[in-house]
Amino acid sequence: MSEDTHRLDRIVDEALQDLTAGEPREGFRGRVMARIAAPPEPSPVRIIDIFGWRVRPLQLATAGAALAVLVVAVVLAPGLWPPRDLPSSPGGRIARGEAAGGPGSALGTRTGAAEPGAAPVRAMQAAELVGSTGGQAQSARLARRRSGNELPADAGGSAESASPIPPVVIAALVPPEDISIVPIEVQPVAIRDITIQEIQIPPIEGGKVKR
Amino acid sequence: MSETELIERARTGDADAFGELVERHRVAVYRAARAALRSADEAEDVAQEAFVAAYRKLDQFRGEASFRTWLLAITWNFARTRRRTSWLRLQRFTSSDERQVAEPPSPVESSEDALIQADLREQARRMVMMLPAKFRDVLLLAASGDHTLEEIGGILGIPTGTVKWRLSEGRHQLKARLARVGIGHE
Repeated sequence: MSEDTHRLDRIVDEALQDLTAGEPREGFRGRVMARIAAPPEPSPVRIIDIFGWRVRPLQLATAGAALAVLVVAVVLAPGLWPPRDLPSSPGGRIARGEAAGGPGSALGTRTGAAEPGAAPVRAMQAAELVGSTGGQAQSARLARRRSGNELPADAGGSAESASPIPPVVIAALVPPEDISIVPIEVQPVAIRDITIQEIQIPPIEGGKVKR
Repeated sequence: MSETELIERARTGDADAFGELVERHRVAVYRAARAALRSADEAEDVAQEAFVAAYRKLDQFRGEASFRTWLLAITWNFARTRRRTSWLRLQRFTSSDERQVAEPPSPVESSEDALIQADLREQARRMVMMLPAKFRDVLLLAASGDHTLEEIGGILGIPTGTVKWRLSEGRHQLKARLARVGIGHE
């Protein structure tokens, strides 16, 4: 081993011993026993009693923050969503502004002002948007009749009218609260049968969806 | 009186028995705290806190490890918590400790040599403190001479083999750093 290595070892040992050497001062035992005998120091964190629940301020603040986030998510977040005004398509469009304002609007249900036939109109529009096959067009017409919002025959989609908008985009734009109020016989049409490629609506017989 | 008897008596509230335990382990506990904290005052405060906490948690000691290892683990947790506090960390690197003055030069050394030696040791101490914590802690705990490798493993919660490796690697890194700045070369 070289002299330099010896020297380095010695310096390291001395430095380490400098940093760890020493003993507690005289009377250490007495000070410890005095601290033990003294009443426990009150916790720096104040405990709040809420109806018998003992919570710390941090827990309370966390719960409050979580509640605030939840309220924001439920009440305000839909308003922050990107506008659902879609470019004109052969089958029609889902226009947030129009739908929210007009009679029979599906979006009206968001504020609790759902009108009869609102949800079927939504389903109908979605079906028209992606382009309907024969069965899809039938379900759309049925929905239209139910809602009382019969549109001119040429206003709906046809088997040939394929939308340039991918169904996935449409699915992403349908807000969950609208989905929840869709009548049960229509809901599967609007949601369950959306695939990556197209919306498939099962044929309808006697006003009921056949599964 | 054996340690087990002292523990049993302390559990029943015998303050003298616990005082005897304090007396037996005070240096090891203090040095474990000292390994984590630069300040001697902080180390002593943490050592006291550790003994108080051990007294209050004595019922939780099941004897799976030795009382000393259990006590040192408590000490280390307190010391680490204290070390995490940012202002203390700042103090650790900036304040000078009145009880950590370099030893006076021996009469045979000239004053110039003594100054050089003191400067070297101070630089070496700084280098130690700049090591990654996982190496520094092991090096300092081992250097205190109060803890076996198994105890150090118990304190840090790592296997003894890891302790050995960190000890060797930490020392190697420290020497490499010192050599890089020209310390150790004549």
